[in-house]
Amino acid sequence: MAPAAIWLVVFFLAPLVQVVRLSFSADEFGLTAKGWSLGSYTAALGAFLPNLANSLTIGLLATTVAFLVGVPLAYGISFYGGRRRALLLFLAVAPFLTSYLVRVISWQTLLGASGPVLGPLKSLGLVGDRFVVMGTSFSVVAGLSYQLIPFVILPSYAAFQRVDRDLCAAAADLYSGRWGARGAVLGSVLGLAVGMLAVYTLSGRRLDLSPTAALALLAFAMVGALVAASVTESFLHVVLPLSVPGLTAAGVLTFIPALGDYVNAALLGNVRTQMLGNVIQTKFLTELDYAGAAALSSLLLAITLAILGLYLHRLRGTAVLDLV
Amino acid sequence: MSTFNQPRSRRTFLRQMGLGAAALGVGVSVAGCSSKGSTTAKTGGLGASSPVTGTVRWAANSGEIDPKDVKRFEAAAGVTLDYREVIADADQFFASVKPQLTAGLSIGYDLICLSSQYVSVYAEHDWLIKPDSSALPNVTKNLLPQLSSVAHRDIAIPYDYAPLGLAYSKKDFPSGLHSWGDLLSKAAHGKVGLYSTPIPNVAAWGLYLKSQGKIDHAPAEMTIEEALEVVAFLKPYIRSGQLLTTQGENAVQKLASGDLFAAVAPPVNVAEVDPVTVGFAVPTEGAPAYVDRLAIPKGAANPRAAEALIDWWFQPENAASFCKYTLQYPYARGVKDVLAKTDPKLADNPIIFPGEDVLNRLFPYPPPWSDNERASLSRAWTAVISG
Repeated sequence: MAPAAIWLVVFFLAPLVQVVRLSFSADEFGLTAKGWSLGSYTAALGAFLPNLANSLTIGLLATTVAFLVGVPLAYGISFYGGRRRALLLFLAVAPFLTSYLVRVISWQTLLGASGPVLGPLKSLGLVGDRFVVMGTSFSVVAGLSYQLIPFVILPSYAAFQRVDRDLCAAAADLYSGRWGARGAVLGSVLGLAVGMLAVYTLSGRRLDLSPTAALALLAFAMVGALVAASVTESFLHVVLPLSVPGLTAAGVLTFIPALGDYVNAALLGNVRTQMLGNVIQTKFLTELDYAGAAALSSLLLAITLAILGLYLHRLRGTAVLDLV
Repeated sequence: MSTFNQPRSRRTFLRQMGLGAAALGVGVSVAGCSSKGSTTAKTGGLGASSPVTGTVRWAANSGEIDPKDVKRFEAAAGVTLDYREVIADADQFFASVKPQLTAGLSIGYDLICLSSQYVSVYAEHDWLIKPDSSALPNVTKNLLPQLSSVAHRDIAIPYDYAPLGLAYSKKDFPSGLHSWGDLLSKAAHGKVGLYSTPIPNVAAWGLYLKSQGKIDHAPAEMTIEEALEVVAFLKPYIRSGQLLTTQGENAVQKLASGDLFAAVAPPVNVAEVDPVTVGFAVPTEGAPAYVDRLAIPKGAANPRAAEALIDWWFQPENAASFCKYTLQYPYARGVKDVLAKTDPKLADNPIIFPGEDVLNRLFPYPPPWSDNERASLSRAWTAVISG
């Protein structure tokens, strides 16, 4: 244990203490750790709350999208992949063996004004010539979700694999129905919640009360209701409860990097989608305001730990440590 | 039961963490006291009579030189060139080496490419070794006259030289771009890419504001108050999305793909794409011109080899190879004559060899300002681009 303790002290505790100490520096231009002051924190909270809000909303929406794509994929591979499970799993995560930056830049090409998505739509006259997707919240969420999907697939797959198939066989006898009406109600509420998050985030954190937004919310609620209503009882009563630790781990492994991400916002977004990570990067590398960067980093760390603590406490997710 | 198999309590673990932290603190203190001199940056020691051997480690900008020139230099000088394209962004490179240079430590390179905006910072903090002029005969003979008078020319050799003008889509601006003000039109909303760092933007738009009578000085004499005024001018255009800041180095590729209509870029980026689709203009108000340098940082292990490398680049055929590969303006005499024989089309390219009227509209970057002034400008810029 002593080597592990030393490792933790050297590579975790010491740098963390240094960053937190720097965040309280009274050096006017934040270049060194001198004196004690809350100035960096008050400046950070005063000027960069919108960026923190971007990190929370974009991070949460991207995590949600990653779950909506990754969990069904992991479930399908685990329960229906048969002998090709390993191959299917590899194919699902193989794109992520390439460089992170290359994957982000590929989204620039994909969503570009004349790219493979918009180019044909513009040629067919389905969207206007000036219609853009790049440089919007949508492109940031799309790019970030894509990066997070393997962090959902892998722990979810591991969790689904641990479910005893004999229990599933027994459940197939006991529970032959679907969630039905109750599921539809809950699904519509969840769908509406996701829809509201999506509309709020994609409209640049504004309360969009337009007919388009209303239609989008209705669509989310209906899709949520349909999907939930069709969930089988055996999945609901057996598979899902047994998979909670893995899904909790997936949530932790996606939301934390999503909160701190800045590359997607820098390359796919605009000035209004800048996340707290972008500000930290600029403060550290351009402004050389180390104290300010340290204060923002410490703030982000505190918020992440608070959310994580609440999440794990609510889900009693201590077993998640087995899977993380 | 062995030491590793004994059950551990929480108290034991925390005790070990504490001992580890204490050991770390003692170790760091002792290391700090005892090794202060062992990696301190060396000073001086240069001389034309010292033999040139060993390896020269060069921190360069991305795409700085033709890889073939590495072999040519090694064959000519008998020195190994460890060439590393580690400078993707001048601000980030400066941020990465500043702590070591401030502490008097070596940064691990013998030669670095120094961005215009940082030359005075390095010079005034005494972070550079002055090359021996007797070891630079080709520099003395061939450096262009207009580059001989730049500040700190004796300690940081002028080298990579080009304007930051306007790259534009010919389809969207069929009659070309003539003024910085053309970028503020409604037709260009959301389709104009600025440079990612503040100094070039302040220099460029400072020229526009000077032409409008809103500030008094050209970039090289600009006061910090005028620079902040330029940032304040740009703020509403950036916030409204008229001008885009987060474009990265592939802005010109976005011009070709239609994501942008115009971008602030050097001619080298434009010369890489189809001239039928993308054009380049130096606005009537003028454009800032960067003059990057070759400099030997304090603590360089092989400064003599670095001098040899600098001087090698000022032989006309080598300068021509640089110009041909990077499509930057020539920095040495004789380049056009060499290219006229090896690449006549390039020798006649007005983007690389502009006329006097264009050269007269190029202005050096802003002055270095103090550390605090630069920090206040960066802070103002961060506040604008962070939304």
